[in-house]
Amino acid sequence: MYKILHKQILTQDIKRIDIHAPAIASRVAPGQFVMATSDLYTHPIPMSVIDSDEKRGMISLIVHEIGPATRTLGALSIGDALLKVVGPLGQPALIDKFGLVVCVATGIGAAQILPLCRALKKKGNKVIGIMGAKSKKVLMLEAQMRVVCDEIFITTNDGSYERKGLATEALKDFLNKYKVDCVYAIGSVDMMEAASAMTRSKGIPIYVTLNPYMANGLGLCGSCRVKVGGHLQLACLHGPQFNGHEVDFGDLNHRMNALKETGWNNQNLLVKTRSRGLVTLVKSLWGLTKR
Amino acid sequence: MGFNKKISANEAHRCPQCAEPTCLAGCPLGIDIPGFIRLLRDGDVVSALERIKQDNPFPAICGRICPAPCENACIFHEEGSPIAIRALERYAADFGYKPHLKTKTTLNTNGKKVAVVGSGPSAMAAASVLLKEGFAVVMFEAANEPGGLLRYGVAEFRLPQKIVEAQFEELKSQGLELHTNMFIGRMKSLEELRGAFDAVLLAIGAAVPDFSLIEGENLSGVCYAEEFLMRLQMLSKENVSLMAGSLLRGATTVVVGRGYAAFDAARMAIRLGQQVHLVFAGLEEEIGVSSDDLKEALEEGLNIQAPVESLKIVADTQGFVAGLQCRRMDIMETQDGLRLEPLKDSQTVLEAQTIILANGQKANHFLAQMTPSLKTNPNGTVWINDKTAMTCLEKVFATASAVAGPMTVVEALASGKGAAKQIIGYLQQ
Repeated sequence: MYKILHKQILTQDIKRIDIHAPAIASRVAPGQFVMATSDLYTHPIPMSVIDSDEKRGMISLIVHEIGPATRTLGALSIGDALLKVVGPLGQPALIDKFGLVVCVATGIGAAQILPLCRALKKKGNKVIGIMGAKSKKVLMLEAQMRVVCDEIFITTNDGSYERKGLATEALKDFLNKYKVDCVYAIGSVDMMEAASAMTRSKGIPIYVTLNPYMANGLGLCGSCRVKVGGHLQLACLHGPQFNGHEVDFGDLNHRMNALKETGWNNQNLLVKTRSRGLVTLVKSLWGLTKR
Repeated sequence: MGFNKKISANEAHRCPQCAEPTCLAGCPLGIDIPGFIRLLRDGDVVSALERIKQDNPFPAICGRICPAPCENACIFHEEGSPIAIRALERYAADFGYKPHLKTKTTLNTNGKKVAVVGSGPSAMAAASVLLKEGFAVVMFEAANEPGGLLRYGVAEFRLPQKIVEAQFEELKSQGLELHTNMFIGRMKSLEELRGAFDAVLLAIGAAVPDFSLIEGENLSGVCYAEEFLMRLQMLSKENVSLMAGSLLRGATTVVVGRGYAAFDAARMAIRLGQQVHLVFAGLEEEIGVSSDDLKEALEEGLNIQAPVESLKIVADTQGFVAGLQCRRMDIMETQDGLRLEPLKDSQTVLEAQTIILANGQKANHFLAQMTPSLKTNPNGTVWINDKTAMTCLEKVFATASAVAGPMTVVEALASGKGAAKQIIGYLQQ
């Protein structure tokens, strides 16, 4: 079950894994996510499905190693199996024919925006991609985005690649130049807040995808509650995509910090991940011969 | 604590075996309470367990976490010392179970298949009844482990997980087919289930936290009791001591609310080394737990502040919890009689670094949201025909707990049994 078929190291701490999960691959729609658990000792983590292949029964996930659970998941090699993958969860993203659509993503958000860009392009939209990253080193999925988008703008905070500055600056310039019909934004809370404020003054609809903490993704704990339009909504059930003009970003910031101070995500687990360089090498070579 | 042989024998001898037992009316499952106590008095634990199991398939669970409405109905209750029926049930379940004496059930004798959505107490009771009648039962659970609220919503010290696991082992030995990690509505639609089974029972229960609208509920450091308990229950045994402490900030926790969810969360927080205040806007008699549990919690050092009305959660400059603003209440004479009214000038800020909200639960309405063809009540829950327990879709039934809202564990078991009987009646027509 849930065997890892391929694995690719994208940048430092970020890996892409392809999992064999036919039931999920045949159902998943852009914008939905899965809850993946690597072994008995870690808790489930929500992860967006960036790609699915129904024929081979395969879904692709992006693992960002920030805590013990994601580190264990990232340490799995080709041929290993995940303990469980529940999904697809969440509402599919709103995909429609708008005309000129701008997709803004910063950091790990690039992984989540890729399936949306694909779906938007398929619907016949003109898709403009804006990607922000800290530096060239951690910029990921650039090639895939270039294939999907009609035009792409890249900004880096330290100026190591293309334009120096923030993604929101590139968005601002673009919004001033052209008449945009819709904006999709995924990434840091600050970026989404700024993008929402920009589009609100121009009357452009914006859809943001939120990534609050989730305990099980089934709507039973309320860990991922966010204030949208004055109501409490659950990102795992009613989301993760919401209308950006309605989201209370100050409130979201509090939720994103909810478990930060206590160090819930930074505890070193009792079960250490083994260093398995040789095993990984052999397994990956074995995987190559099978292809 | 459970009873030993001597104490339980003494307790069973204390039962007067009334000619018209009042305790029978108290039990929603209708267990023959005087009957099993009589058997216990004679020392026949195995037969006593059998007698209980005629009506209640899970005495090991009920014997631990049932709020014991039967004890409130006991004629000795007014004197302050009702017969400890719950503890006797637990004694019978723990010591009367002889695996080698297990009655063999014939599997799937009538060739009909029933799907049960959910694996909480109501689903377990329904599955048990259906299996005994010879139906093939397939259970679908969205989470990783079966048990629903029993698994993720009850603290380990009150109901050890091995007890729940043992019940599922027993159900599996009777022929239950269990699928975990299967979220009906997303991974499989209700229509697909309807096509594949002779009947579908929605035992989705009422475990969704009722989100309060107290000011500041989304601050960092505020969580719901359901989330707190679920995160603890999801931790592996090896990592509980390592990780559990990092669920709570600071040294003081305030739990707002009543009932078993609040008490479980508060007592778990005490076990994690916190100083815990429980704030509740009502009299201590309305706190919603049995007197035994209240006594145990007080012994552990729980500080109950009641009646106190919580007004808002105070934040520090970083957006983390700093305290709970609240004010005392008192019974006052108003025009409509005696009522709890807030006292003037009693507003204080109760300092705390973590706040756990336990507002109670409401019925699960997610499946109804995900299945547009299901007719719903105005509050979003599934609509059922009161007489047949059938929803507007043919072959799809729902338990009362999925419709009416939160129930105690014994009421949930009774609702599952009731729905299962309706299904049997429908399929045998």
